[in-house]
Amino acid sequence: MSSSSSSSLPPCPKKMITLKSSDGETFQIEETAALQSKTLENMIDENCASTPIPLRSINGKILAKVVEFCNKHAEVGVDAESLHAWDAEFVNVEYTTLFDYILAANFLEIPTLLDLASGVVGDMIKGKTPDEIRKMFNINDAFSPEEEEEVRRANQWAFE
Amino acid sequence: MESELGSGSQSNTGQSDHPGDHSRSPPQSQSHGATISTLPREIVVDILSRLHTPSLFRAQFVCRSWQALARDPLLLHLNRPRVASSHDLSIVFHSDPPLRSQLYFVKDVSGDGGDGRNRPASEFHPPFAAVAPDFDLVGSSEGLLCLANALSSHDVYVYNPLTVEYREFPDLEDHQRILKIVFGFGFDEIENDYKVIKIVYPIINHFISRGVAHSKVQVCSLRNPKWRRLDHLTYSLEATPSQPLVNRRLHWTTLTRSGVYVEIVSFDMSNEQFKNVPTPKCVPFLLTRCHLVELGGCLSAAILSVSGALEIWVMKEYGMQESWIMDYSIGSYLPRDLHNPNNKFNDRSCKDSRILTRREYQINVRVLAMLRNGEILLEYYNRVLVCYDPNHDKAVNLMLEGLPKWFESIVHVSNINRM
Repeated sequence: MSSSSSSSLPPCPKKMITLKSSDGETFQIEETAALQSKTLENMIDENCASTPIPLRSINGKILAKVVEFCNKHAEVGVDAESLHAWDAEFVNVEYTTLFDYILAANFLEIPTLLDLASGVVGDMIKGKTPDEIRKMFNINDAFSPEEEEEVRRANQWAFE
Repeated sequence: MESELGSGSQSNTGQSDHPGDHSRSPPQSQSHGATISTLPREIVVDILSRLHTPSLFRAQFVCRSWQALARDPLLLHLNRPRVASSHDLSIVFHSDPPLRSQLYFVKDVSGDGGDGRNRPASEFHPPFAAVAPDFDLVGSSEGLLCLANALSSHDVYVYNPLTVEYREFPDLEDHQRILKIVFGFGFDEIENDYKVIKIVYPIINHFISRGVAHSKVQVCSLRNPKWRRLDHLTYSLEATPSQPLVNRRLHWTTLTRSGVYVEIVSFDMSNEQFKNVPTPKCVPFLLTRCHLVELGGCLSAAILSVSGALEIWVMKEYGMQESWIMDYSIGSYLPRDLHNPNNKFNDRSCKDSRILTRREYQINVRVLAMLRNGEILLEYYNRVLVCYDPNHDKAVNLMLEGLPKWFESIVHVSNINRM
């Protein structure tokens, strides 16, 4: 956290809210950081955020990372370049964790995180063959090789 | 460091097999259960819509559910602006040696400067080539090409080279002697439909009554695939490969009644009316030296000035005559490898080329498009493509291997639009 020695303190400094993960861990997050989540923002607006907010679809490990993300993105005075580097490091994880980030960001409505994680998944898919994509994401609902070969043959534009 | 609130449970990538309590939580909560199939449809669609067209096209062969998603209207809706803003232009080349037309494409000519420019051109064959071996290139719009059978029947084909799907629009009219046929092709985003306009000028009447041309105008679309007659058009339009689509209107140049100056005529995709568009006021807009192109969303006119420079005028605000501005002036430039450009008519094999002889008022340079980096793509003498950098007033030949001797070229942005 940036030490708030600067003069421009918000009128109501350091208001904290508490989040509770599916496995019972609790996390404190500053309200200003929490506002990046539309879901939390709505709860704060409706004064439903005074007690710990249960998030039953997000486990502690993921929630910790989401809180970390929101804190980082609420920090003042971080230049775009270093934030970019931080983001890149943040999403440098297993794809299963990326999917968890996406699900959490979707549930909490954090567009920056959703966009970041979705973008990484998109980049992983880019330029890969269907086979490589299936292996990468462990997808089983595949076509038969014959079916795929059929399309491959009919097409010279995309597959070359 | 950053996570004094985060209870320090970092443990880099771990898949945490057992997230503490293993009862009572919905299935998604356990990280080892997160697979791509647990993601909501909108999110997978959003992810896929970020892909460039070839990757997106391949993605539909990953699994059955992705195949369904690739046809999701939401995906096409999200993907279209992303594809458009990426400016990944391909070029389609059309050549017409005797009896058999050829098509080639070059992928992603988007300007990244210098070295990336040496690219192979690949020939591709439309699935209807056996029926229509000789065709003319009408245009390209939103991933689809439009071709017209050059033999007597004048059937029109709309074709996605990526998915190899096509539709045929047979010509059912009994035409008499035809002077020329002018086509138009474009995608209308409001009606989400592709339209083909076909204007047939019979040999009689044309230019007889003081330049007033008589024509049969027909229109059809992918959704409404029967040719419909529209009011005849008295303008004699110029046949061009591709007709710039701006403000939901297709554009052609024409002769005015006086026969010297150009007018610009537009076709409104929704009300299907032809209408004049104002030309730059102060420029002698000579037909012999002008063609239209869309640049940065604006209707633009490339005019060969008397001095030999290519001036590009841009109508900044559509329909406003005062908004025409000369944005670029490209000095007379003769690309390398074109020492004697007029030689192109000497080769026997191109004696009958429609491309080289169709336009009575052929000009030697065509503006094709503006690239991502602001460079302008030009076609010289139907033989060479050139990238012009307006900031440094520098022109560089685009090195493309395997192209036919002569061609007409159009830009094409491929997408997976279904028919």
